[in-house]
Amino acid sequence: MSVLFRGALILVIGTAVYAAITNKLNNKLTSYLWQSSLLVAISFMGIFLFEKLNWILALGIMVAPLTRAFAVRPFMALTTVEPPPTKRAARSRLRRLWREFIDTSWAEPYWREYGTSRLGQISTIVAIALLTSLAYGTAFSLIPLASDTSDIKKIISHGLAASLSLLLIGFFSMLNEEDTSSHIMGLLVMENGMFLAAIVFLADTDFLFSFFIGLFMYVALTLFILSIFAPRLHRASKSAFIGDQTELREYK
Amino acid sequence: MTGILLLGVILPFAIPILIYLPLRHKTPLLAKRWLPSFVAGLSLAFSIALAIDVTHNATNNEPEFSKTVLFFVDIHVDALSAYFLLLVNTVAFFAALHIPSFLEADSERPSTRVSEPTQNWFHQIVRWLNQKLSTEPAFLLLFSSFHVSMLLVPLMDNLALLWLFIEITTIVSAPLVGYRQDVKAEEAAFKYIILSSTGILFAFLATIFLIGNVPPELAGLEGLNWSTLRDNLPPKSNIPFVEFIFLLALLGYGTKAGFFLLHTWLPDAHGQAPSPVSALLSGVLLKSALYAILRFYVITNLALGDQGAFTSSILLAVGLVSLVAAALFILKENRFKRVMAYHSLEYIGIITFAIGLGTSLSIYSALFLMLAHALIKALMFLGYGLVKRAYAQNGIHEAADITGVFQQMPAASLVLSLGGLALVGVPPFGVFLSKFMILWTAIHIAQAKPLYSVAIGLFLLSIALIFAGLVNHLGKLLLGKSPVVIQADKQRRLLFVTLFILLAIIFGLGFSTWPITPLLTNSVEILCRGACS
Repeated sequence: MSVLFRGALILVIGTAVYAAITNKLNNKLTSYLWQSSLLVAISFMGIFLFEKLNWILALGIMVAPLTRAFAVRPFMALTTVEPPPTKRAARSRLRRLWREFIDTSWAEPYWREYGTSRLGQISTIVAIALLTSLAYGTAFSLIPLASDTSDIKKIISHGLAASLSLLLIGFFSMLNEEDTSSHIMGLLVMENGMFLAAIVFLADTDFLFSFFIGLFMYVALTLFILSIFAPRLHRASKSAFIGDQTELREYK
Repeated sequence: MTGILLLGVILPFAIPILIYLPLRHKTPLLAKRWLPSFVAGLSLAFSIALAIDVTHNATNNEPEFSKTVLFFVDIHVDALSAYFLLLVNTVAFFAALHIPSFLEADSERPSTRVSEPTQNWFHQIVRWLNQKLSTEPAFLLLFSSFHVSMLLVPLMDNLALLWLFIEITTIVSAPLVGYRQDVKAEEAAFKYIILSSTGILFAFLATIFLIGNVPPELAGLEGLNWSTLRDNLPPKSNIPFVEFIFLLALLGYGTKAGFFLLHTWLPDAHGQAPSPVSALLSGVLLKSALYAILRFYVITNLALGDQGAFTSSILLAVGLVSLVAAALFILKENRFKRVMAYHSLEYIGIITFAIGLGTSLSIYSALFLMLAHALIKALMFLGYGLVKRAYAQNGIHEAADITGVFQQMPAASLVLSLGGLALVGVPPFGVFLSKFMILWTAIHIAQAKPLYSVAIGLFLLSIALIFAGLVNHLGKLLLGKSPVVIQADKQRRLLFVTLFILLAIIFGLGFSTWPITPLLTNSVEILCRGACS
């Protein structure tokens, strides 16, 4: 299970790398969906690795990445562009509510235009490789691994490395992306890094659940506020690109 | 006793209920506008009583802090938290007094664009919220929530909750920054929320790592408490990890405090927010983030057991760089509110530098500067807000066109010029003595460590440049010929009285700090654990 866990951590980093490299917002969203699903799997695997992480607790914390996986597209659609006027489709009530929530067809054409980076793909790959090495170097110097290191310590060390990688890659994406929606995607990747850190560091403590509630609330509220502010900014400045937000810039 | 006083302190919690429950339609508009100042006044009175209570307990050699459980949450009240509560409430009270005038002037603003109709329930919710956020009840609600969240920060013993409330300050203050909903305000609000939310994630990581390092015998939620960690973290264990945690906390909370390079949201948000909100942002929000850093500072010093050597070197460097950068920004041509924001960078730099010096005297001065800066910035932002509204009523909306204030509004020019002198630390204002004490400590240390001489030189040069920069900006605002004639206004005159009271408090603190001296000395004792030479 320990090997599987570490494999999942590498896949999580892979999704973050892909999200940072790809030049299409739609692809970033798909890789985020995979990343969140992997975090659900990691929470599940944690049951077999950490003593204090039981089934109920694991199911509780899985709610966070699951919700984000489902909600990211509708919220991102709102941050991309203001929704057009719509008419209510005549369907059964529950199905209609669900359809209305997940309907992002009006924003998808914009997603093809958004997601371009300032740096070219090669430079981005080099930068990400450096950041990931930095994350692994920091993690292994803080929690050194030796041949006699216990399995759980290895997991914590690798988990710390993966979480720092997500944090740095997400942060780099925020600096590297050209539009506000991709900017927000960077923030979401960073937040997944926090989730991972919380699992590996707090799974064997009594604080795990309270931390997840705090983290979940924070993400939900931040996304909600951003889904209000981003379109307002786009409407006011007539652009979704960071480079066009120059009203307050002192050095134009 | 402490519990009752605490309930009084967090009274602003009641405002959302009063605004949104049945009273909503029956309460006259004016009463609603004055509600935050009334409640902030009551909360201020309770926080003064709490400060006296805490001081009294400390002088009787009782434990230095008292713990109370309020709404299932561990509340920690010591001299430092009582001091911060006093600081928050004083600024919030004076800022709230200016809300009715701001809202009255703002009521003439055209309402925001109504979007095309939609039947999608999810979009309807977002649109409803979008429209509600720029209404007057929302402003009052958000202002009070902002006030309450900043009151809760110094009361939290639980470090995870401390983080949560600091993040909540961002969530509730971002709509206030973007309240006017024009392109500049939207840009500022977006930048503010993105940068603060990103930065604060690093602080969350620091909290996770810290809690992950808690010894197994501290199981249970108590292990998350600052007071438990302070007393139980084993000294000199896992040193690189503890240093890493402090750096993450500094990076995370430093974004909110506005250290150099992490400060980019600061001039935009302070410049675009309505004046009462700018006063809170500048006067209090930055200090709340500093408060969190101070709590980590104590834990780190005790865990490292190096007499504060590591934290001091980091804080000295961060503080000095912020101060020097502030001097360069202030010298530049800029709008007045942005210049005021850069003064926050200056003060954050000086305060951090003083804490980095790591002596009782310098920490005492740093704590005093926090209060002095909060009061002076409230004075400057509120005073400038009155000037701006008076000019706007006469058709001058651009900040660059506001000149000749001395000619048209002598009271305002007196407030702004005396406030400006207090800000740059001219005697007899208290800031002068604090800066002098910080410098004196640095000179004392420089005798043993010659490298400090460079820091002293940069410190003095920056302060001199900042003085010149502010005189230049104030001169442009106050002198010259006014483009309009400003008529006298009774309500404005009353508001200037509140500013003169604030000015009198600032002036009085320059002569004696006796009402807050016990709080300051006890706070220094708390912060000096594991540090201070």
